[in-house]
Amino acid sequence: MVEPTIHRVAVGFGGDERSHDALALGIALARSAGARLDLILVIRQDSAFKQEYPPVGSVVGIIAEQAQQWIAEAEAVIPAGIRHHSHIRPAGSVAEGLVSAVQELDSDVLVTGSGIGFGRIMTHPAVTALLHSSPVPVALAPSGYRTNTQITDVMAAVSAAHPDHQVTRASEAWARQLGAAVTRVTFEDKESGSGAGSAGADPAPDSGSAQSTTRLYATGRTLRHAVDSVDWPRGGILLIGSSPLARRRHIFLGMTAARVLSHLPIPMILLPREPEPTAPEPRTADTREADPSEPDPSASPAR
Amino acid sequence: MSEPRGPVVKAPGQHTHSKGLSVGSIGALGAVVIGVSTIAPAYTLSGALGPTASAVGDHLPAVLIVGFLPMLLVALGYRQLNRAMPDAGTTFTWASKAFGPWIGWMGSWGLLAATILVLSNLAGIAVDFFYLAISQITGVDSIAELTRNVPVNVVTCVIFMAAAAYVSYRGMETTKTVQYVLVSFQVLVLLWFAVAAFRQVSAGSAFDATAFSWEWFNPFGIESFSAFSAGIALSVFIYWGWDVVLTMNEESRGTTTTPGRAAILTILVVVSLYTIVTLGALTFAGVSDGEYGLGNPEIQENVFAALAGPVMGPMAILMSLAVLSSSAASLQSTMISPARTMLAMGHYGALNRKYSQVSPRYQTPAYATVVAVIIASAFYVVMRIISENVLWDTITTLGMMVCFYYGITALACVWYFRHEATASAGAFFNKLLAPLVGGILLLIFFFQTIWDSMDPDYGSGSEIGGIGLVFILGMLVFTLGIAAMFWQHHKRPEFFRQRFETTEFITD
Repeated sequence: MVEPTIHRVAVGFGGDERSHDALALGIALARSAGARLDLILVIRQDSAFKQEYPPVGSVVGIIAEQAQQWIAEAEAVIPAGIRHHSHIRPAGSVAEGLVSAVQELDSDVLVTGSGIGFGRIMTHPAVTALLHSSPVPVALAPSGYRTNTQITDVMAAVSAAHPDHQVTRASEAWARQLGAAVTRVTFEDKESGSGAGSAGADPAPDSGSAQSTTRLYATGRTLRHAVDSVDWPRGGILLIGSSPLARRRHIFLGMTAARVLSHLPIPMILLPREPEPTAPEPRTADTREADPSEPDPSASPAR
Repeated sequence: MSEPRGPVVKAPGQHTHSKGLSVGSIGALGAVVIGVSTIAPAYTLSGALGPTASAVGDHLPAVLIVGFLPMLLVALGYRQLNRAMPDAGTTFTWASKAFGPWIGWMGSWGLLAATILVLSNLAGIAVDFFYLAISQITGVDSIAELTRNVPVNVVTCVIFMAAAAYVSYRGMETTKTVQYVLVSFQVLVLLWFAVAAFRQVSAGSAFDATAFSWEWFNPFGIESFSAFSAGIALSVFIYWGWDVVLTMNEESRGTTTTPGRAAILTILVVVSLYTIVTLGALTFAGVSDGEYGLGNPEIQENVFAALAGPVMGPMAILMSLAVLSSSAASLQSTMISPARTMLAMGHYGALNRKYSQVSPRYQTPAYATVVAVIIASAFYVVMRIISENVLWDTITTLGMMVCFYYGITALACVWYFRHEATASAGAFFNKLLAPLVGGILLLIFFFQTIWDSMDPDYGSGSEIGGIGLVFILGMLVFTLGIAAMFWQHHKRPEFFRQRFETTEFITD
């Protein structure tokens, strides 16, 4: 019995180019997973401490109207057959609005654009905030991500020291649902000597798993070179864990992840820190709060 | 198997999770901080005290207190309109709704002109204090003189404005903490200034110790009605912005907290602060045209730049920083205003559609912001080149424009509510009597100022061909406005033909 991990894919959408990258990744994930797509557009509201001088009234109404146009443009892109909903909601900040929306909608992954790739690091403050606070996995679409991409490979970033990590289990669950192959990637940079190991590069199938798992060592003088040394599949996504600094059930972009991210040509999915470090539960990617009164029939049984 | 399309829009007021902007959650102290920060007391006093003193002499305190009244009356009407039509555009939306598109357009033009003028004045004051602060820190006096070098001044000013426009475009926010710090700093430094002035007076070391007189508080002692209305027009500018405290509660529709207490507290804080500082400056320096006298045209357009040194000694650097931070913060919040007005006008078809462009990334009116900063910069550059008293002239014209658009808005309130105003005594006062009296008063001061400003000796005494520069500026603004309006009517007549409609909410 395969238990689906991804029921609801949320896309943080804003009408800019990066948002269209996010939409493309959201569509790819929702299609491969058979999940529902939620477009969330957050309208920023001024804090009372930001008063224009002289006062000229609120522009939220006008922006909301513009937002509906952006949403309409986005909906036009979504292929038939993908269930989707759009939500426009006001919030003090984009990150704040997205976090409250994914909690309310019970989303399993939040997709955002980031403008990452080609050595650039994300610039939008909302993305930076999400990467350090989101309660659900955040998927970052590299710039120029295409709508028609099929998810073919789920890559798990694991350290050589702890190959049986949350990320390993999550990637297997994701791959099962997305119908993709699993690859475990270990990044090694010679400078810091981190992750240096001599494990073989042969396939190491897990007991109890029908999937074949490929192991891959990405090595290079620096992490950047290590990332560049891999021939990333076009339909790949890279799952990576949060830094130990993260609060439980929240994500926090670690140093290694940040450096990998800035050079990665495929989407990266940052997982929240595990609720329980020793939980046997394989559904680590799903961090929704267990709610006994959950009305959604598609929701998984309470833990 | 597509689920029903069409986004689910949660209106701000209905959204229970949204961060309330209520006075209730801000608290009375927060509301006072917001109110004081929008009027930017350090900047406003530095820029407007001199021109006001030049108009009304030692009756400054009287005009500051009396000038508050029309402002208060109009603000009561503002509050009612804001409750009924909280949409962007305020004057534009309200006047268009009440009086039709033509008057709405011109009222909005007055608001736009006022914001453009205040932008260039703010940036100009910031430049003065920027070089003054550097000179005070380094001890090199010649740096303070750099601001008189026209090319240096113009370039610095344009850089300041571009920076403010960028911050505004990015939609960056001043946090609550920064706001509290800025406001407390300003208030403390202004009080320090006043106390230091009083101490010097009692120690006999003041420049022109002038004995306090109750006559200063007598508005009827002002020599002429012209001088009186000039003073009122300026004091309207001095108080411009505090009314935000009155409209703030409307953003928290559904909460029961009334902002009355916060508004009264803000009024008390602002009026007493202004009175104390004015008394300090008056008793210390008098209104003569001596070196530091408030009547000296050399120092009038920026009094704190001249007075802070003699009054506060080495601590004058604090005053420079207070005015600098206050004008920098205001520069940024003022940049939002014309951009949003143009956004609303573009949205309703009163301006080219381009003005309604919103940056998807930052959700700010991108095109309108760029246009606003270009016009303000161009205006400043031209004025700096043709007038030696650019700051003074802009402040005077500004006062005139504020009287104009406030007056129009107040009368729009009267007309809009004319049928419901008889429902109760409170409604009658708030929706009809107060805005009617306030609006008429402001329009009287407006016309009187226009008339007087024809005199080449008016205000700073800048003139072109024997006609006062302020009058020329004012006329130029209105001529351009009318021309632009007819151009719009020619290009996009729909706005002028339709009945203006906007979102309406039921009022109490």
